[in-house]
Amino acid sequence: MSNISGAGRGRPVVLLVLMNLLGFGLLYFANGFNINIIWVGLGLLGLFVIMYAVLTLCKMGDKFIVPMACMLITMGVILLCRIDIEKYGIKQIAWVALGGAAFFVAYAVYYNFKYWHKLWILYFLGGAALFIATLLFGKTVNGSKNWLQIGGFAFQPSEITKILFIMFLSCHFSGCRTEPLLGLKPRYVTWLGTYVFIGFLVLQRDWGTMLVLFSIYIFMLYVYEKSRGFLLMNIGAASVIAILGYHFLHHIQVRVSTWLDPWSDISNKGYQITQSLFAIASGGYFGRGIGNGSPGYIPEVHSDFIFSAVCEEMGVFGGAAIIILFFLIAYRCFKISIQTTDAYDKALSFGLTVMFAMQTFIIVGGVTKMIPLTGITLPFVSYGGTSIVVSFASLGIIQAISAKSERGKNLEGDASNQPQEDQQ
Amino acid sequence: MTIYNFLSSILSYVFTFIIYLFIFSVIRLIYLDVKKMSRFEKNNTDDVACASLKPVKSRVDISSPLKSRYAIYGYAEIGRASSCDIQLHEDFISAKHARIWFDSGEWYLEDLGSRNGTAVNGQRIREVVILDPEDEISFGGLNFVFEL
Repeated sequence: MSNISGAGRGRPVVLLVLMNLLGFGLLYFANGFNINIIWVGLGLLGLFVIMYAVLTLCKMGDKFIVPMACMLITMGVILLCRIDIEKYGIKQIAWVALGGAAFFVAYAVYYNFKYWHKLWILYFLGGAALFIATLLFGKTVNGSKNWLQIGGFAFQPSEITKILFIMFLSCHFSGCRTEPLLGLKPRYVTWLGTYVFIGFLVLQRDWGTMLVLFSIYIFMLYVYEKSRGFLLMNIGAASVIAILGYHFLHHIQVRVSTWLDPWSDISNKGYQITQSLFAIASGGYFGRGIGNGSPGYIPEVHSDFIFSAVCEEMGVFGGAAIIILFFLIAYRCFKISIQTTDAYDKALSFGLTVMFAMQTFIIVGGVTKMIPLTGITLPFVSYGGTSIVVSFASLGIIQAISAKSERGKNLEGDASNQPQEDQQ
Repeated sequence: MTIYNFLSSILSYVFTFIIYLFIFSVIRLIYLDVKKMSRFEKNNTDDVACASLKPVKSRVDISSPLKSRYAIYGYAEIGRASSCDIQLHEDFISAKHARIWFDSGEWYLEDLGSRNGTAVNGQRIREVVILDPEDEISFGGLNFVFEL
């Protein structure tokens, strides 16, 4: 038994390396023997190998999540290098390297600091401060004011807010904070906090992030709240807000009408979604091959619509593989959440998993015209500095939780083994 | 460029194959991991060979009632001591009387130097013996039937 599993341990990593070598080798031919491609590929490969080696040698908990995330990144980076190497490819590699660093930093900080469950007020104030700063100094891109520039460095504060929001919710839902605040029970504190954050996002017109935050809240409510009435009340309130928004906001009306019928206004409002559908359709089962498609026709193909480009050049099977990989990541993270004994860790890892899952659902559903499109990045695959770094940092937190629960179990195991040895 | 296009189309199949092989191997490792863990949780009863000792009529007097069946999971020591897997609190049983274990398809019995001895099918054993199902084992006169 141990022999069989021992032989197959390194196989996913070998396949990952093979995928990188083939993919970047192909891109080297495609871009007219651009030597940068080789450096990009080798850098990425080195990063993955280092991450996996550190993870297995230091026994940092779950060993499957990071290789799966690396596979997603490989697919994303190959596509981005093919779309535009100078503009997106090389920058994305830099972001991935930064993300790898963020992974280990988040791991170390979360693992060693023990008072996360007490800082709920900091999370709330931090999130609110980021929102206010964005509203005051933010930059409007594609209709939503969600970019903040400090010096020459621009980032999306809403990505960081997502983690702060989950930490804030976890403090209350895990039962680490039970005393009422200003006469409000914890459930109403979370309720108020959620609606304040959502209010800020409405002001920024960032519908995608709003949907993610609200679904995290609903899912955590479903898991932790005993009374179903409160949950139904929230869902009812959300529906009322959605209907009101549809009636009064032109922005949302456009989104819904292009979802229901993009074909009637194909040259203007429905252009993006129809190009995405054409791209997915032209890919077929196995795709047209890297470099053979024409993803350049889709606006925003590097960030929101990367899934369509994957479907065009790697086929429906490639797209399904991305969904399966996210599925497996979510499964492993839920398992970590179930195994851990600490209440705050449980709530936090659950929230982060829901974040990954909902983000994937919302954007993949959006570009395939299953639900109305809301601009949001596909974690690990899309181009985007903040998205990559924050996704890696959340993965680092989940990894730390996994390591904590695994090492905790080992300690218990040692303790129970001790008396037996004494007897012998 | 046509050579490149051809190469790329061929490689698209290779990529799909590699990605799905990757997913398959990850799922397989997760499966093995989960299986190992569930065996750990079930206290090693799942994958280990099982056998049992069933008390039968003996000529000796016993002071405490016996269980209807004693289960053996891969390895068991029989004796009076509390560290034994199967405890028999009788005067004529030694502290560590005998042991039964499973190794590569066979069940073995060994007497651990007991005072009153161990017998299989009426024959007192001097060395390690291989047990067959329905063998009658006697620990110092206390009789059991070995069952799989």
